[in-house]
Amino acid sequence: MPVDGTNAAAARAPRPRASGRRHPDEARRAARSLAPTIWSGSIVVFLLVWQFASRFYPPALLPSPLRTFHTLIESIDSGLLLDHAQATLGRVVAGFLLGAAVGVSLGLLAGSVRLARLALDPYVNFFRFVPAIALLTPFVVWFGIGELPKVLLIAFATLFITILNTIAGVDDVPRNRLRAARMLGATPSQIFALVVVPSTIPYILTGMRIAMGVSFASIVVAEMTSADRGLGYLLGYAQVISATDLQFVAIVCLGAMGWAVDKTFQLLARLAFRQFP
Amino acid sequence: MTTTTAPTRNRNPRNGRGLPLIIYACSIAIFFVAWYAISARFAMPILFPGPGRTFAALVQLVEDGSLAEDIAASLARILAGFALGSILGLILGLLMGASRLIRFAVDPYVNFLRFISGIAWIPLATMWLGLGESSKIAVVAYVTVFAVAINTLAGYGAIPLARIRAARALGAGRRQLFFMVELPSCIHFALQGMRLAMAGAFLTVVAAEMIAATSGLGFLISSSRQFMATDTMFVGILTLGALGFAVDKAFLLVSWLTLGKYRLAR
Amino acid sequence: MSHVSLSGIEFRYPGKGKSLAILRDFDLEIAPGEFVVMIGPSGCGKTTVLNLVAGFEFPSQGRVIVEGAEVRKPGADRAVIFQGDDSLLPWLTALENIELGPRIAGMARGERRKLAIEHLKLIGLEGQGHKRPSELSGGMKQRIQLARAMVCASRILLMDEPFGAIDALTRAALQDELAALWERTHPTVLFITHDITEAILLADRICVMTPGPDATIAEMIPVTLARPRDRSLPEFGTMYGRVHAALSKSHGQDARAASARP
Repeated sequence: MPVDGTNAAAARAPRPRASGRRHPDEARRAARSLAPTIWSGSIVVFLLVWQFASRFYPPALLPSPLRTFHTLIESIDSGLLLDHAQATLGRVVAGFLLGAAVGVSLGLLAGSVRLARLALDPYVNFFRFVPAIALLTPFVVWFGIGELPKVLLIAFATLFITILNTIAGVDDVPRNRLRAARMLGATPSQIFALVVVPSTIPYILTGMRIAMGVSFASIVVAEMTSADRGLGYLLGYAQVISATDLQFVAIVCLGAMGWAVDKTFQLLARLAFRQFP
Repeated sequence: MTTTTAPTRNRNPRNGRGLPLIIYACSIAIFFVAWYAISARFAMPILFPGPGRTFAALVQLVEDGSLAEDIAASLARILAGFALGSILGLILGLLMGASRLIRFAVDPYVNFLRFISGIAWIPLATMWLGLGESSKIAVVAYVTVFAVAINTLAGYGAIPLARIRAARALGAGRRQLFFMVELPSCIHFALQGMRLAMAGAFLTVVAAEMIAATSGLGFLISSSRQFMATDTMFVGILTLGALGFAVDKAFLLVSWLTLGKYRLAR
Repeated sequence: MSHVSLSGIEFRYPGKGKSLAILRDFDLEIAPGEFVVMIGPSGCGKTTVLNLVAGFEFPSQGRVIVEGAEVRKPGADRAVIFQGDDSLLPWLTALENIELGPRIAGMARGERRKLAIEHLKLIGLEGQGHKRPSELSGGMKQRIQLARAMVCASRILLMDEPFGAIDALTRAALQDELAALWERTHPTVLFITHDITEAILLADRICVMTPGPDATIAEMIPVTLARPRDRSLPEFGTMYGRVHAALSKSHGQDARAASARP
């Protein structure tokens, strides 16, 4: 491929090659069929490198993939992993639903009522910059180390992200959509129910997905520092007893759970709101 | 022709320009009053200090210089990790965009690891890299890499085909295409990714400082638990909010001043 | 008595200090059943005039009178066909979009569905009622907008460059359909375009605007050609020349390029 950039050179040059995704269709299809091979090749290479590297370190520092896999099976068999995963999931889902319900309501209110928007603005604009887990310590002081502070923490993490996204959604309703409804004689409450809320749904769902990620991050700290169950607790416990393989298991399980919940959420959202683009 | 009463002229919701400021002020005043009222109901003020106590704690932490130290410690970790992660993320995103082989090879890891928060890696990072700064910088960089890489890649996918074809028709080679069209087209997306990553960086640093550090705002908050010093926690939380706000605005300003022309046409 | 009357209109956006007046000294009377087309390049305040009649905006000075009463808010008596397709609700099917007006007015489900199906037939989209806007072409979407307006049986139609973003062949078909529809029920129409052919094809009167700010009417050209109008007749060409000359006079040289004969 010539890179001198003169027109003459370009004219003589063979058909441009290897230019990102902008290929003729056949080439694109060929590349897509290659994808699984590259994926699996990449994973195999990674596991081999890991296995090889683990020979040079004690298992407490870097356990081999085989050993980690063994621990994974063991902890599934003993029910340990499921028990902790259940605790984490329960907290995240409870806090998430609470935070999202309050956040969407406040977001719709602030989006539609100017007075509410102005009154909420200072708080939303301040607290969205406060990382949720900063509230963990006062929550624990106030509510002890039970479920409540953790659920509230997740709710707080979810709240401001959903408020912000919901308000953005209300602001982004195309003006002509609103005008069309007004032109047809809709009252403010009809406009809200028929146009504003449905138009905002994709934004709400996006906000909830982002909040879900933050929730899974925040719960780990809460469980590490003040819990006796949950994957975060398991992670901290494994660190204390230098069981690095168990740490890997907990980390992978957290990732898998985050992934599964995200996909479930997307699936449910798609089923429930199929007609929304 | 029937004449009705004079119509309301320019019924635009944006009249009354002083109104927002009044409502802002009222809203903030109500917050402080409510804060004070709630704190007054607590038998032990240490559990829920009012605005006055919190302000006193702030003054004390400012005077003995410990707040400035903690801010500096947190900020240094965030900025170092953020810068490192942004550079790596940008490179990774561009490589994934430009080369299909790399994209397919890296895809499984990016798609798996982005569901594992940086926080979950803190114990391991501490063990591998020690209790010092490098472990915190590493987890912050980890968080940043994914947000920036994924956004950069999205930017790559969003380049209008006509823009690429125009460059090719003008005789641009592969390298020219990259530096003159693809890279500039991705900058706006990369910046958006960096802005998102900043929130994750704050979250992760606070977590790391709560779990394994002896300085920083996260440490300030978590260590106050031993003394039940809720006023100190409040100071820490409010400082984090203010710091996050300031850093976000500074990032917007700097990126607008330096890379403003790469903004997407609206 | 005129059906729609704008008198002594001045319009400027409220707010910061002295803003530019979009419209100044603007007067327009539209008789019942009259088809008025406003023509002029983008930014000359055509859409503002339409928004004033629709009740989306309010004049800084002057009055907008529709059917003897001052316009205070939008309403189904003045149906609007919007420019572009973002006014259709993307989560509703074509039929559901058409029956939105009756639904808002509280008509029973079965009754309004019957009405919607009738109008779907009227615009030639029979059997397409289950599709969502994203599954319809630009021309079909504008037809849906037309049906949504007609369902309300409004005596006034306000159309803001309704066929602007549609390919030339479909546009010509839609223009002919609109002309035929108008012949049948004779609603009062205020139609905005920057296409001279479209204006001549549809209008009783063509209202040529001066460029903004301070826009007003430059010239009012009656179109007396017999309907249905034929684009290929020499009289049509003569009319084209006249409107084009009026536009050029009011806008100077730059209009010539913008309005080359299609």
